[in-house]
Amino acid sequence: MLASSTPDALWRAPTARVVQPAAISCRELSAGRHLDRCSFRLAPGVRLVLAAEPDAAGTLLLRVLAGLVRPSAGRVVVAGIEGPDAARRGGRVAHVGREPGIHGWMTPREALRLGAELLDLPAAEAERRIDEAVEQAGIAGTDLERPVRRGGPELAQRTAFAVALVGDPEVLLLDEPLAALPPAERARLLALPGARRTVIVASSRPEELAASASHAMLLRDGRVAALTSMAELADAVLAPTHEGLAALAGRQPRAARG
Amino acid sequence: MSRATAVSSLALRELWMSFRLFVLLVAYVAVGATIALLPSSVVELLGRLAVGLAGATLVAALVAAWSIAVERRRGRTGWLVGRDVPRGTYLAAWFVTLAAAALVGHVTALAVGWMAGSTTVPRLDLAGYAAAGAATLAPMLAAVALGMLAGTVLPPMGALAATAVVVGGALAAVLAGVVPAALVPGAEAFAILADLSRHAASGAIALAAGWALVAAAIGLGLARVAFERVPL
Repeated sequence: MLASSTPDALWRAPTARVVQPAAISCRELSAGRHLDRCSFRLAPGVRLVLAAEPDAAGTLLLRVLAGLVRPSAGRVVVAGIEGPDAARRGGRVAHVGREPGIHGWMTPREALRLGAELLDLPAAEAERRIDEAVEQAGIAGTDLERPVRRGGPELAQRTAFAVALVGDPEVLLLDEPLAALPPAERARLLALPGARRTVIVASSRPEELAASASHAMLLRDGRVAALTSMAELADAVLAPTHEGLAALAGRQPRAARG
Repeated sequence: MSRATAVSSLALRELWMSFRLFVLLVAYVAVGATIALLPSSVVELLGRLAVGLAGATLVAALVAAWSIAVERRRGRTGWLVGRDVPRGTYLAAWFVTLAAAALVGHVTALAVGWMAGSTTVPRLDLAGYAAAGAATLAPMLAAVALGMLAGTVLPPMGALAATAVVVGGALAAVLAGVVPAALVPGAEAFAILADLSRHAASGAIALAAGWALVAAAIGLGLARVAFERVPL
């Protein structure tokens, strides 16, 4: 199996693409009130912006994919791991929710070290990845040692994002994770390096993330109403908005979405 | 550091930083202070100690319920479970931390009770007092487990209310004599402690502690089962 350590160049090679499994595969997935026999597949490397009606449906889908909510029916495979057990996914899947999930009294460095420790990373490797993640998330050196609570929601969100990167995940699930940041900074953070990394970002304003996304999906009535590449959306002369995706959903045959 | 140790140390720090540990320990300190400072006979002392420990046990259960529910609500449980911490390990680590914190307070209050009792006439029988006091640790564990069960399945305020009604109601009913102590598993230990100056039946003490431990095991088992299914 191609692991996360596979170099990006190899991952992009045509021969590798033939054997690539889907990064995310859902079949007939049902959970709660907002997911009803939802099916779709995403190839590795896809950067998907997810719009949902209502927004809670997108949140629920990401939490199911992260293994935090158990589906009532259906099959889900994420990064080659089947089943709802989040505790087996480790560094291969990372989820950042609307709530950062980090204690307010923790400093970003403490949170990053704990994240690395829980993933059983060797000390030297952990420090290297922490430094990288801090740089990518744009956490200032002076903020590293002060409690997340004192830095406000922006520092909390940057920290949660950085902790997610420490595991170098193959699949990154982001649920409006950077709402406290300015749009330009949000777009910079979401344009993560790594062709093998699959990213889903749930957003109520998909147009703001269109520049850093390769695909867009609309979830409506618990199912995939539209799933398309940004290029196809542009060819159809539709904007990457809720309305644009809804218009595409009217044109797209059902079989093409699953 | 193992995952259980990591969660336990996080839990302890969270209890400390949120002042919940302070509230819990103050409840037990208040029990000790009441006994040590108010002059009383052995009968009054033991009655006051039993009521105080039952009250502090309710506080421990409320802290447990609130902690688990709030950690879930704020996404911290999901954060840890998404980083390879099994749900069972998470729950066990929180139980150990909460029980250990309550144990420190409980034992301290019992020690203060013993010191205050050693100056009364007649003096307290050490063996009987130690056995009855140790037996009250078992319902404390059961109360923490029940609080955790409520915190697992209910939102924070709901968990607090349910714990107050179930644990508080049971303890109050037994100590007020409204319900026969034998009908509430574990709560009988407090009634035995309150009545220790009149008689100390070791069989009854062991039975009360045993029932309380059974209640604790059932509460934890149910919390474990519910925690596997609950959305995080």
